[in-house]
Amino acid sequence: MSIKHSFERFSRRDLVRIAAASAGGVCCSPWLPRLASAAQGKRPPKSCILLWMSGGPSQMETLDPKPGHRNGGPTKSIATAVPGIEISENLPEVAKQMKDLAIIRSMKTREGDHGRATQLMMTGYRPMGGMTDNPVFGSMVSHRLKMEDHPLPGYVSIAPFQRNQLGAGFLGPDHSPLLVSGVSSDPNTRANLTIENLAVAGGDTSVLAERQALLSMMRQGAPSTSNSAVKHASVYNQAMRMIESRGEGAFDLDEESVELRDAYGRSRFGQGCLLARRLVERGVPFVEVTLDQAPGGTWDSHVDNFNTVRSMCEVLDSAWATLIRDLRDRGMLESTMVVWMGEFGRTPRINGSSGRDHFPDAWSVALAGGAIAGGQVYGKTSRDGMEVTDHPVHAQDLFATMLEGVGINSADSNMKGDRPIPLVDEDASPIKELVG
Amino acid sequence: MDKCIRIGLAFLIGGVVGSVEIPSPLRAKAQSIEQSAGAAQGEPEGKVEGFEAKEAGTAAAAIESGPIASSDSRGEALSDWIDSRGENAWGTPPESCDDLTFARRAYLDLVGRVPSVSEIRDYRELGENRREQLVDELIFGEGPRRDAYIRLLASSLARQWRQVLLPPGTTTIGTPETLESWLRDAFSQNRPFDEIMRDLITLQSPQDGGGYYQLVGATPENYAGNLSRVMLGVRIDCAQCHDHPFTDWKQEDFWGLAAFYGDLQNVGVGADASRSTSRGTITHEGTTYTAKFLWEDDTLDAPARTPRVRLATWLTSKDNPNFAATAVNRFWQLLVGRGLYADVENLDLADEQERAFLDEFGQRFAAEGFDVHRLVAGIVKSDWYAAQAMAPSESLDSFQRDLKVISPEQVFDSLEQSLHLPISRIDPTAPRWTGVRDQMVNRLGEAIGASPEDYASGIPQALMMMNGRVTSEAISLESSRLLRAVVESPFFDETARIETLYLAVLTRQPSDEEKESLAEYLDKKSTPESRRKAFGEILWALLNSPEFVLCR
Repeated sequence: MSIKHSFERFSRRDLVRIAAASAGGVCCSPWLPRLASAAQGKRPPKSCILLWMSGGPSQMETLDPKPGHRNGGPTKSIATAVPGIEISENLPEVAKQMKDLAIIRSMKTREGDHGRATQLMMTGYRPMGGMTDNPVFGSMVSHRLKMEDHPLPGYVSIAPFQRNQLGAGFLGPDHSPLLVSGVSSDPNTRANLTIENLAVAGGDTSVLAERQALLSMMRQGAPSTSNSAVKHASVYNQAMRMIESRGEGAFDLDEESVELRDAYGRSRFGQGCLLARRLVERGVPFVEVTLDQAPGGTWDSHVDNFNTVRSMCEVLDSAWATLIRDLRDRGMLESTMVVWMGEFGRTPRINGSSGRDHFPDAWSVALAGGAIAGGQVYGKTSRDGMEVTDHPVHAQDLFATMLEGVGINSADSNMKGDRPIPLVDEDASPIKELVG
Repeated sequence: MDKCIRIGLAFLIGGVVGSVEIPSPLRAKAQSIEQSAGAAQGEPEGKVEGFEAKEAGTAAAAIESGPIASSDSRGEALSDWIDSRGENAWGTPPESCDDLTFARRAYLDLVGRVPSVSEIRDYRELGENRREQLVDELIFGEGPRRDAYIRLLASSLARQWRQVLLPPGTTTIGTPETLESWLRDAFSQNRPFDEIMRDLITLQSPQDGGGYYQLVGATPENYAGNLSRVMLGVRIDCAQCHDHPFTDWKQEDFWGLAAFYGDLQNVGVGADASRSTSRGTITHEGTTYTAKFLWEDDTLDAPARTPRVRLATWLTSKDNPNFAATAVNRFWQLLVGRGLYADVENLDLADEQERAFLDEFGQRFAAEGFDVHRLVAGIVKSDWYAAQAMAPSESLDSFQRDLKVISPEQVFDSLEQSLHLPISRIDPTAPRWTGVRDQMVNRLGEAIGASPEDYASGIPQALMMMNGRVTSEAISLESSRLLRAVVESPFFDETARIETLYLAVLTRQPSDEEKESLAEYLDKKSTPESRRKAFGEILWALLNSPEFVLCR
């Protein structure tokens, strides 16, 4: 192939795509792969949205209230859409979605430090030594469920927390998260979620085809027998497609109705949940949205627990509930598992600053959608909340359940070189009541 | 505008060595380090605690196969030995790379950036022995740029070893810069490698040794895991919680090593005051472990007596089978791309045959006084270092050199050199000091492979190289010094412009085929303005080509 021809070949094909992208035509893009496959009667592959509550939310003020006990504090419980199940008054909208939710109240883990607990809950493995190359859950899902030759990455992390290098580990860069952050900390603009450096240098997309052609000519200078050269080409091709399609238009949140955007909440987390749905719609198998702070609150409620958690729940409640409802309305809930969790819970005993401290012994998480059977509570804590009295669930059991929830066999292994590494640490068993 | 062009041309032609000022060493600190190194020599010569008493001269006997000339001041004898020992192991070496490729490798590996156009010109004017001469310039400071190269070599080695000590993925407490600057001092004085390592082992307080103890978390167990990984090439941290499933590490091994630091328990951020401190022992989950050398069954006698000095003596001894072997394996990996034994942190998984070359090499390094500059020169002057990348190999066992991924700092420093970015000492708005360098290094640092042969960048890294600020400015005629110097110079025709861009960015001439297709590309531009702009596009492609980040 002469290089001259390659210029023309690239130009023609890419100009069409670029024209579509820059005319704002992407919104009308006829194929949103997930919907398209549903329309064709095929069962779409599953995806997962992880709502990551960095800091460790209090179970007593969210999913496992203890009214009437001294440890419960002033938090009241309210009825949900499922008779007999009550949750905290801080989550009235979530309560209405209870038919799709499975709450686990018997989490029992062993890590009470933010960093170590985050590593445990993200990778399913307890931290050893100073570093890890175990992949996080999102990378595992991307590795198993990413559609081949898809322009978007398999794992997107929205408003990411300080990751301390937790990522794809030995699964490699194809499955490391694409980080999406708000461009500003100004509360009025921070819902403006974007990918850094997605806009073409120089601003004019008409140069893309030329660049692509020049680049592929210069690739001939690096031997394609080298793995690094192959990876370089693959990453650049993916990045180029992201630029050309402006992320398949997923980031154009303006296409959504004002009512729906309001319902999610005009916070970075709320709009992040909406973006997560749009990414899943376009074929991204794993999206993570982090909520670590809100005006007047964090989850790490060592001080003034009740007010700070209430502030967090105001952001959380509408976003989480709307996400489940929106997915259901679009017929996507069966194929999209929504996980709500942090790295640990909070001490039932209230400390001297009206706060609650780190507590890994008995805490709660919640799953919905995918293969998860909703409308139930699994496990139980004692009246004072101090211990699990029924069906303790360890981190690896939750991991196995989440894997089954998106249709991945939790008994499988990943290959690290030629050594098999089980997806989940030893002795894990998925919770039958949740995933059949 | 004229002035800008002049500056640009001056950078391009005038032979300025692009570099930064490095903070002057902290004298007082260096002195205290020397003192503590002296303390490490406390054991009597001859028998080293923890090793079977050996016949005198065992180590020397093993290397009698080649002369160790004290006259080998520039690593020649070592490189000859490497060449023949390598042929013994792998057969005939692959064809040698061309001169410019060699220069690109040497500059990146030794001074941390690509050569400037003027440096390339000087190199080409050297005689037959230009490769050896270049190495002598870059390592031993021969020639007119002595100060700059000595400084840059120390920085470059310090950066590489900082990353060995604090691999990507480590959660550090505090800034790694303290450690890097400590290493820089050590390498700029060419302190013997065993001595540098002894400083890290014997620390009196957690701030010693560049603060390494604090950086890795200020706990005995973290430090034990790191020391064994870095200095002995074994990972024993899995034995922290349970006995290791694949090798024979036991919890006693791990905690026995941690026990040497038992008195440094409660020193870090978020220290756990409930842990007791003691010299030479440590208690973990109810069991008390006494200081013990690895591979030994028995614990230390009188463990409270200067435990760390004894550890340092044992660990860095010539009789320690892993210390020197691990060191040369690391240097080989940093320079050639793949360790002589590739799994550099699991040396205990290597079989005897795989260890043979490494052990002999290590013994040689030890016998020559752990001289780092000579070791580096010996490797860089060898045929194996110079082997053409990805040369077809006859069998799986034969030697093959892969492309080498350049580090985040090398990416920026090379851009700084290639693009003639404003240099800090001249211009306070230089990107190095305005955060642009940090931003780029951090973003690239999020995705670093496990070895120099492993390209691990993802989409965010690619997007930054494609559309980020440095690139945008580099390809714009308004802001790019390189581009303007090249495009607006009256001395250049279009072919010369293209050649200069290739030389500045990729350290090579374009091939005839490349020249032809770029001429065709330019001919499609109908206006003088779009033709000028097209050079920006060519530069964009050079900066984003695999060749820029993957050294041939």
